[in-house]
Amino acid sequence: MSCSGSGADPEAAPASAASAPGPAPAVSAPAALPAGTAAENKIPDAVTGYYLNRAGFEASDPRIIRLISLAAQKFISDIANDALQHCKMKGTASGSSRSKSKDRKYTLTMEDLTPALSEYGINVKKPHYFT
Amino acid sequence: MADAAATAGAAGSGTRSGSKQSTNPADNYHLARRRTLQVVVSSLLTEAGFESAEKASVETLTEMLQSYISEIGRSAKSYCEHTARTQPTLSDIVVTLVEMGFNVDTLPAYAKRSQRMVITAPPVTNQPVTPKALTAGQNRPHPPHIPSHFPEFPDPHTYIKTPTYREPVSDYQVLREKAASQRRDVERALTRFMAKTGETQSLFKDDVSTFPLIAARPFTIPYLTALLPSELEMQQMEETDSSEQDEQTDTENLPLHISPGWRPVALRKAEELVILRFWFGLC
Repeated sequence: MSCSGSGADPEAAPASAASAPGPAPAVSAPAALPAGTAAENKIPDAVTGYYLNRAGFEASDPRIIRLISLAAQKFISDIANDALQHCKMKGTASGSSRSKSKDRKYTLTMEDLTPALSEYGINVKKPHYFT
Repeated sequence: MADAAATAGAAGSGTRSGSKQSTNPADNYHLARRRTLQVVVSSLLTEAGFESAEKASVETLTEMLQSYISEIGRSAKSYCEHTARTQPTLSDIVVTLVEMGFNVDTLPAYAKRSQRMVITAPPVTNQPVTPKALTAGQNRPHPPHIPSHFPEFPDPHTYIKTPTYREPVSDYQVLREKAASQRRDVERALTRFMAKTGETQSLFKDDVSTFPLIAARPFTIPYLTALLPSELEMQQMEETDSSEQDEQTDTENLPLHISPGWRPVALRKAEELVILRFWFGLC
């Protein structure tokens, strides 16, 4: 699994969890199950279930589906937060007035998303124009 | 895994932006769910603090979300089958998430945090229901080999045909009148036909055509017809014999039992048979 993450800690934690099988990963997961109720999940159970079924995963418990959708949501929101940091860094680095504290409107562009994704090991290359 | 997801995302969005063909129902299924994922991605970006986003970035994130879910499903299934099981359990998913570089410890904290934005479900469109006033009769229930989620049978009047007959008139007076008028018409027509085609005699000296009378041919032996039974009488005798033998009452014979004497004697045998056939047809 070639995940060249900048955070060494998040990589060390899964490595230790994988090396200590059984109790270490299982402790946190049941805590997540009752917390992740249907009302908090953005992705409907049907949509997640559809994509899981396409991959061959037949869920016996609906809570498993909610856990997966919650994990996927967190994945995307982590990337979005990283892209927001990049956007803020670019804004304040140019030395704009602190009173405005950068315009409140942040727009997610590919220039912010690309470095955020590269930290997760995902390299995107979008063509700017069609030849 | 990650690189494959990115390249797939780039290729997918590239082809999608170029093509705008019409969608068939099979594509609509994919598009509907993809649209749901787009809504989810948009709400997550809004939660993070973004006011707007490039279309390409939203597409990228949507593609990533879809690939992530599919990859979790595939990988969890593989782990589960690796241990000779068929039903994935919670530990399979946890191991999958760990293998994909996801920090599972932060998940409960994230679950508690994410209570800000709730996306309302898309409105459910009801099936068009025919109003009560238009339905006629009960729909046929499904036979057992048809699943219940199939549409119902249409109204019975659309495919069931019930032919109706007008009841024939059985009023005695109307029937007698009909019979009498029909008999008179037949007699008149026949006598006119005989007069027009055969020899005629006229009562008036100058006017031949207005009241033609059928010419009477005298027989060589005049008393022969009185002695021999006519065909009509012979038929009568046969039928009375057969009706006495059968137990059933034959209504066809009733008019014959009316005394044949009130038929006009001047009619010939062929005409008698034709009259007889019409008389049978009326009963």
